[in-house]
Amino acid sequence: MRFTRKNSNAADGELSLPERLREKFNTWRLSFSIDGEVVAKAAIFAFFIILFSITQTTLLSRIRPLGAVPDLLLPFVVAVAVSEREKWGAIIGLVSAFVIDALGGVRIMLLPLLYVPTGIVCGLLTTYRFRDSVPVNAIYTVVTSVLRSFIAMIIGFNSIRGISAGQAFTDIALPAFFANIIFAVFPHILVRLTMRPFHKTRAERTSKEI
Amino acid sequence: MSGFFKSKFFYVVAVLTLLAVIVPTVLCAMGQTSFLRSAVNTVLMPVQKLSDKAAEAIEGFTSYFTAFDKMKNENLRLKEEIASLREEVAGAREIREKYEWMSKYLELKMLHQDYKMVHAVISGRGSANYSNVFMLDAGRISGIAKGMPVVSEDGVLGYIAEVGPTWSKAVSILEASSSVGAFVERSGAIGVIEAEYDLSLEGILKMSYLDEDADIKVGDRILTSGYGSVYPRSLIIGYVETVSTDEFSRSVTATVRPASRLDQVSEVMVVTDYEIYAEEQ
Repeated sequence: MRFTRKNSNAADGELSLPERLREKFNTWRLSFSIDGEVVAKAAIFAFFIILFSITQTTLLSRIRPLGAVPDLLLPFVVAVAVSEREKWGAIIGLVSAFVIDALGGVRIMLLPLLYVPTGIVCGLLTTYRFRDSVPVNAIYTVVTSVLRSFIAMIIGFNSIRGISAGQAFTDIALPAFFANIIFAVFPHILVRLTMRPFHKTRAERTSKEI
Repeated sequence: MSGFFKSKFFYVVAVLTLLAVIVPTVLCAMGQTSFLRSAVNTVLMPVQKLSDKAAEAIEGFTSYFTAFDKMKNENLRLKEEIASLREEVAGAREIREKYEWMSKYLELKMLHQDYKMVHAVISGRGSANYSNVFMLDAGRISGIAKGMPVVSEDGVLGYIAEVGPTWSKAVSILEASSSVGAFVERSGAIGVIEAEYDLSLEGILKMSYLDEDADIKVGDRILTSGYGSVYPRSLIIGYVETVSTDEFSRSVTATVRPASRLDQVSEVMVVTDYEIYAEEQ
C-alpha cells in the first residue's frame, strides 16, 4: 500500500484530529473518502449490524421459525450493496460476517467468504447491470439464501454425527432457506427507509458517490 | 466493472476477508481467540444478555404459535409412548395376576402335598342359559379322567363330566344334579352340599342333612369331607350365609356362598390324584 504524505508536520499541526484522520485515510487512495454522510451511514449500519446479530443470536435462535435460525445479516448486506453499491456492500459484508461469527460462530468461520462477495457482486450488478428494484432485490436475496443454505447444509453434514445427505437437505437446508427468505424483508425495508434521506440529499446536491 | 477488481480497495477487502476467515478459525482450533473477536463479544455481551431475557419472554408468547408443529409431533410421540406403556402395563398386570394365581396354587399345593394337579384354562362355558358347565383346554392326553375334581385357588369349582383327548367338560358344584360331602371347619359338623335350581340361580348352595344340634353359624367356612364323593378332604366350598331349622322335622339347613365363583375364574387345576382318592380307587 502506498502512502503519499502531502503536507509537512507543520501543516498537520493546523488541522484538528478528525480532519487529520480523514486526511490520512484519503491519502490511502482507497477511493473511499470520509465525510459527515459516511459517518452517519456507518453509524446506522453499525446499529443495524448489532441489532440484527443480537436478534439473530437471541430471539430467532430461540424461536427458530420454520425450524431454522434465519440469517438477517445476509439480506442486510444485499440491501446495503444494492442501496449503497459495492464498496459499502463489501465493508458491511466483512463487518457483519465478523460480528456474527464472533457472536455465534464456532470452529470454522466461513461467513466472510459469502458476505463479502455478496456485497461486492450485488453492488456491482446494481451499478453496472440491473437497476435497484424490488424484483432485483428479491432475486439477489433468493440466490444468496440458496448459497447460505447450501453452506449450512455442508457444515451440518460434516459436523452432525449420523446425519445423511438427504436429512441435511430436508432438515437443515430447506428450513434455513425459507426462514431466510421470509425474514429477509425486514432488513431490506429498514435499509431502504433509513437510506432514503441520504439519497434525496445526494440527488439535490449532485450525484456524489462515495 | 473490472476496474473495481483492480482497485486497491478490492485488494484490501480481499485480504481482510481472508484474515477474517483464517485468523479466527486457526485461533479457535488452537483454543484461543483474537483480540477483535473477544472485544466484539465483550462489548455486545451485555446487550446480548439483555436481548436474550427479552427473547425468553417473547418466546413464551410466540411458542403458542410457533411450537404448534413441535407440540403436535410431541403429542404423537407421547401417544405412541402411552400405547407402548399400556401394553407393558397390561403385560405386567397379566404377569402379576399369573403370579398371584400361582402363589395361591402354591399355597394349595403346600396344604395338600399329596395332590397331583394339571393346569387347564377355561375355554368356554355352557351354551344354555343358567348352564353350570364349563369347557377346559386339557383332556385325556394331560391325564384328566372323568370324575376328577376341578379346583381354583379359592376352592372347589366342580368335577370333570366328560373327557376328550385335548379337552374336557366340567360341571360346577352349582349344577342341580351334584352333591358334595362337607363339614363345618370350626365345629366339624357334617352335612351334604347340594345345589337347588332356585338357589343356584343366585349362585348359592344348600347344606342339608345337618344334625339337629349341629354347631353351625353364619360365616362358618365349609370344607369338603372327602367321604362319598369325588372331592378330596379339606377343600374350601364356601361360607355360610344363613342357617335355618325346619319347624316340623327340626333338621338344620344352611345356605352357603361358594368361595370360588365360576364367572371370576379363567384358569383352574384338575386334581388328577390324591391319597384318599387313590385309596378309594
